[in-house]
Amino acid sequence: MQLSKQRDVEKVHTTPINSLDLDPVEMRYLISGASNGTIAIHDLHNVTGQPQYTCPLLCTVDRCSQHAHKYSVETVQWYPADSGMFVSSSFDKTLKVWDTNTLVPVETVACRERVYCHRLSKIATKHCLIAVASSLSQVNLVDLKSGSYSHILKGHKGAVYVVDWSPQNEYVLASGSSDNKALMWDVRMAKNCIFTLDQHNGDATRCGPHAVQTAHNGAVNGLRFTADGLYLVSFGTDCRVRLWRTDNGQNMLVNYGAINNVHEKCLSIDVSSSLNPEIVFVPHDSNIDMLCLHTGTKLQRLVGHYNDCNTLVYHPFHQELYSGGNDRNIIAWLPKTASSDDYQEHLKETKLKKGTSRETKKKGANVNLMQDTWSSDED
Amino acid sequence: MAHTYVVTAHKPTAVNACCTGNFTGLDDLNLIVARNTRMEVYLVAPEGLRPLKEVDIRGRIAVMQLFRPPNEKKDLLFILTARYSAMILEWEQHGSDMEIITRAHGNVQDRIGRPSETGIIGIIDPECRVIGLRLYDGLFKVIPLERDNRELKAFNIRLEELNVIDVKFLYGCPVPTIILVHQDQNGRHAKTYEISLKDKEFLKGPWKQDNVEAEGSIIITAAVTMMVMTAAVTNEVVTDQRLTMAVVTAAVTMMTNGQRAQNESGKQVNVLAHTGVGGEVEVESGSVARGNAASYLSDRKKVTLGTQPTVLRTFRSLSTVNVFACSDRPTVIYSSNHKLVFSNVNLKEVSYMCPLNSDGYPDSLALANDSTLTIGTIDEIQKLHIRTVRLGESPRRIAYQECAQAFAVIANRIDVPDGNVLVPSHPSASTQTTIAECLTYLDNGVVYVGSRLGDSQLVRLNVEANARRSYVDVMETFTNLGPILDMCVVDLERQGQGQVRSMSMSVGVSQERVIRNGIGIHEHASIDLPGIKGVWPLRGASQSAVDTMLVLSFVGQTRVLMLSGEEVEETELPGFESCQQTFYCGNVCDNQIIQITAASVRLVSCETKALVSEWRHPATKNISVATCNSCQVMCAVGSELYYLEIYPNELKQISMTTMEHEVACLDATPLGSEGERAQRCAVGLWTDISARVLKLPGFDPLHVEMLGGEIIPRSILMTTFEGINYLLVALGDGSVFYFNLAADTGLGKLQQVAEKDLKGAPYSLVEFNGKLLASINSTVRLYEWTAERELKLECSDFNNIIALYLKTKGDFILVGDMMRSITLLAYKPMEGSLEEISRDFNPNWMTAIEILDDDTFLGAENSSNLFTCQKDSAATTDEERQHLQEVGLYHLGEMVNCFRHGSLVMQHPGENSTPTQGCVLFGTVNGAIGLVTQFPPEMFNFLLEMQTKLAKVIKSVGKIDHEFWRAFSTEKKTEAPTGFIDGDLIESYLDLSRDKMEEVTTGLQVSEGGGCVAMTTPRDSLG
Repeated sequence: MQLSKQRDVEKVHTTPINSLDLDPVEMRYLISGASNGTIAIHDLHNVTGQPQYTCPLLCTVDRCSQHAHKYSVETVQWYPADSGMFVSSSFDKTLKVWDTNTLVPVETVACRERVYCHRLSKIATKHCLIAVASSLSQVNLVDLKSGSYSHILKGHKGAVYVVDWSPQNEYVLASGSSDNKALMWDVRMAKNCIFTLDQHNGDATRCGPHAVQTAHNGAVNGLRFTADGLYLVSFGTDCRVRLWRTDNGQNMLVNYGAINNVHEKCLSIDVSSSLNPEIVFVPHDSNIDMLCLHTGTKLQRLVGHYNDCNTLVYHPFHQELYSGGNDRNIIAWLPKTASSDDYQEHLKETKLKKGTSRETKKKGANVNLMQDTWSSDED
Repeated sequence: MAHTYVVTAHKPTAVNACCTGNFTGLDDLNLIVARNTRMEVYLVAPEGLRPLKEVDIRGRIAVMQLFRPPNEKKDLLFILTARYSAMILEWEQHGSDMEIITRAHGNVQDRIGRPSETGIIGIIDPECRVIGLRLYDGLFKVIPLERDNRELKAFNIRLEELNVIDVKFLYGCPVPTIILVHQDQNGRHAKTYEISLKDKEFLKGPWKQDNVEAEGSIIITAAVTMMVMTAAVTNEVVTDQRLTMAVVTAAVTMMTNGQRAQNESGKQVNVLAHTGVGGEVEVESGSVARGNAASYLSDRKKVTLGTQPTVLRTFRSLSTVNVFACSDRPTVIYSSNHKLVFSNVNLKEVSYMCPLNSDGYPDSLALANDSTLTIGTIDEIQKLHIRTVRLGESPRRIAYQECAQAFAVIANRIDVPDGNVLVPSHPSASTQTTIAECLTYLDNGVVYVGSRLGDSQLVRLNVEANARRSYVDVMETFTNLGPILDMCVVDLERQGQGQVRSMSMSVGVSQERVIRNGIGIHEHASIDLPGIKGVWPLRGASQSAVDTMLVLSFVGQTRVLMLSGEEVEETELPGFESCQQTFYCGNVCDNQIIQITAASVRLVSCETKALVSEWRHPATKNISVATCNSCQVMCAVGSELYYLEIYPNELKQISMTTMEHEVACLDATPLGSEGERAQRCAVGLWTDISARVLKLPGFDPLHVEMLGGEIIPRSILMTTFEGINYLLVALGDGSVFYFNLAADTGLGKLQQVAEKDLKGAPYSLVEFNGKLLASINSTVRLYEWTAERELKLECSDFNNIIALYLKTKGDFILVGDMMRSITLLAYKPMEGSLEEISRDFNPNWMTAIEILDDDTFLGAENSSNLFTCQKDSAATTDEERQHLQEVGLYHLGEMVNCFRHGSLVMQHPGENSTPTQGCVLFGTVNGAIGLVTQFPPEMFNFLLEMQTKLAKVIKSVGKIDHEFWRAFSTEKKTEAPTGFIDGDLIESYLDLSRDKMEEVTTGLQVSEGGGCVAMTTPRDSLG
């Protein structure tokens, strides 16, 4: 994969980008949320007929808008069934459910604390619960039908940074917290979690009593189920990525190496679907590491952001990756294909022709061919 | 809305699974073969495989296994389809009524899961307690087998091993126990697990073995008392106290076929190694050796057709040559899969016959017996006919040039150096390689080799090597068309009837026939005329296609019948000798008619009907036997043989010879490759009872074949079936000898006129407005053919991942991308550029594309689905215009490799009963050929309604819902079928019983045109 020379995403954000999501039906609309409360939607369909194009901005909820979040938008997610609705949560202690067409919230849920992350289950048919992770040491479940809290999952002892629903079982939820723990829940049983992910697989004697039942030796701020729901990937501020079995919570003890993580908030990681071998994408400062899911081998490091990368989303249809970070850019990462080279060459050739013809017209005019790069080829 | 109709014309032939057991009865040994969506049940009989029943399954068969639970009298069949429909089937027979009933069924699909890269594995516990399935990575699915359970329900067990290569159940275990071979970074390992049905989990198995053979890919389990496997096939033998397990290396050991193991009692047990990935079982073929120069006639065979002297005549049916053997048991001889088929006709006796094509009696046969002349038509003999041209190379693309009547084929050939000489990598004519997909042992050393990529075979394994130093003899070969890589539709005979030439891996062309029991003749007219000794049709003019007269020969006289409409009246031709018995009569070159009587050969002008030339024996002896084609005459006077050629108004004697004995029969039919003029003639002699092939014009003997016995040959005929030349000799006792006749073939040469270096692989080349359009990697490029005879790049389009397919219509270009569905481009001649008009944004991985009409486009993608897209010409916004609308979705169950415009049926100019628009043929990986066409909306809606009703009435084996089966289904999405009519279902209406038909048609809204039209349409389109 490489930074795409041919595809740009129209620049709109003026502050760090915290969250990205692709609409689950067409995988066409990319939604992004930024630190100043702005939410933007881009169209990824290329209808220009040219490989070189910029994904246009369709609409934004500007921070000046009366409906916009007051503070940083930490998470945006499309409603799983269609792109007519999306949900955003913010440090302004609210969760908003938006109508995409009017860009007006149809529901605003007040939370008692800053919201780090929220998730809707993509497969749920029997419930419409939004799991909300906030600086309260609990996971709140908001019922979309009533717009209010349905129940609370208590178990963590620190701020909950991240939640993710299982794609296999619509009632299973994983949560990660600043208390170094990751818990697996069945939301029908609010009393207790199903199990706690233990990095030592029960063999705590090696690390002393304090390490009992922790997933990481730091806050857990990234969680992601694999597409088949059989595994869970976690990321912690101990700079480790771990792989867990979802049926019994066993740590698979895959060594992914050290990956810098100092954020006190939710970081998104993603796992490729329908690729072999499966790949985990993890932000590593301003880069993105591509790691083999089952062996931990580092496959590639994507270098492109100027500042820390906060969020990324994998496009399973086209095998592309979109990422956003503190440098306020959304970057498209595409597999390297012959087409890009051919196209570059073609552009160079046509440019050369144009250049020479221009040169002959304006005699004596100093046309620097080297300066005339592809990016200006929009005339 | 698209109104598309899809129907299969030729069912899939590739074999993807087979098994043996006692399915139809305790004492019956059955072979069951799965051909993608079709299952065939055979009985293993002493004379070979006897087909019992063919069943269509609404799904691609992925697993097929026979098993016998305790208390069952015969085996049950377990089938799992590629879309995870599971079923247990039982054979039920009451007299001749054979039925397959569904004992249990269910769908075992998980909502999510990663389908395993190594495919679906299905296994059954030897004690029949559970069925085990490996469908998704990391999961093992278990279906408990409980008696009288009509619904198959499965549960998952987590499997730690990620990359499982093979799984089997072990014999003789108190609880169901599996053994698996899996791969990790360190290599491949064998491991066992016990299945706890109560807790639905794995328990630690009896043993495991790390680091088995690195290429080990198949597990064979066996009860230890039954067999001890020797190391020949096995790279690893792991012995447990209770059992023996062998890990067989597939790809490497495959070349050493027919491995044998000795069991304890010393009885011979044959084990054939099976192939995992592209393994090959190399066997030598005992089949026809064509083009063998050493012997002119080969493969002598004899059949008995009747008890009376037999006369052989050729006729054409659907542009194939057939031979009619006139005798007391008339028979039609034709060829299917390179074997001659002898099919009885429903007539008592025919002494003479000739084909007749007059206005009143089109495509008929005139048949004479002792007392009557009958005019009738013959049932379709074959639906599609297949001719195979072995290329000895792997073909990739085919094209046809009409003016040269030539095919161009691109083939892959790998030449391997053998000493200093380069030889083709392909086996010679006497060796045949079948790449096995599945193997099953029948009995007595006979093994069925099912193949997906080549012909399937029945082979015998021998203890001793045969003359060719092979332990394997091929007993029978079953033609497979698949995989069809490319095809073209040509109209060789210019009858408006297309022939499909398809390319499959090792086979050239293809077809299939439906052999019904015997061949029916429908009598249209009958005249009482005793004593007919011969009949011939005559045309008014040589160029005309329609016969207007029928010449009848009797002892001592000849009569001519005029056919006007259906009326028949006697007439006279001035130039004809009517007081002699005619030996031959027919239209010949230069608008003339020839009549050969005992006295002379007479050439008559068609225009004036007057005699223009006559040839008599120099000594005016009587002619005893004669034959003739359109420009050559041969006649025998006793043992003297004369060769004449026909010129305008002239008969010229070219040569003569004296044979050793008197001539009994003669033939000078030009064979396929010879054009109009025969280069050889065939002669049958009295006394020494021989058949001879002579070279014309000098009568140089090419071959003498002693027939033996005392019965003289009465009729001799050279003919070509499926590209193979045959010589048939009929004797006076009703038996027929047939031989393969060596052919002389010549090939044209291609000359390169220009060359262009490309950066990348050209996936597709298309002629486009006099220019050359090519898809090269991700680009679509248009090249101009300049006056300087070179290819000059005019313009390019870059917006694809890999542009695999191109189709054009007018200025429009349809591009099929590897993973991004289809795109419509327009060529702007003024600007000299390609412009993207519209694009389908669905993530379809394409395998073939076609343009149905200006606005409708057809695509086939790699999960065996079809879809149609429409261009929205009336769109008001750019956004709508730029998106192709997906209007039709359909699961075909076959992976389509190519689409071609064309039809398999004759286009009758006046016939308007088929209101179809456009006709596209498709060829698939499994060797199926089908047809896609469009209907007007009224007809479509009528058929759609009928389809809904049929789906309710016709219950499928395995109880798979029709809508489920035809739902567009990929790994990413499943959508209900729309915009397509399932022609196979519609046409199954014709096979329904009367009351079922009524059930379907009651309440059916018959629109204008009537149901009758609708009923005939599908059959017409099938051809």
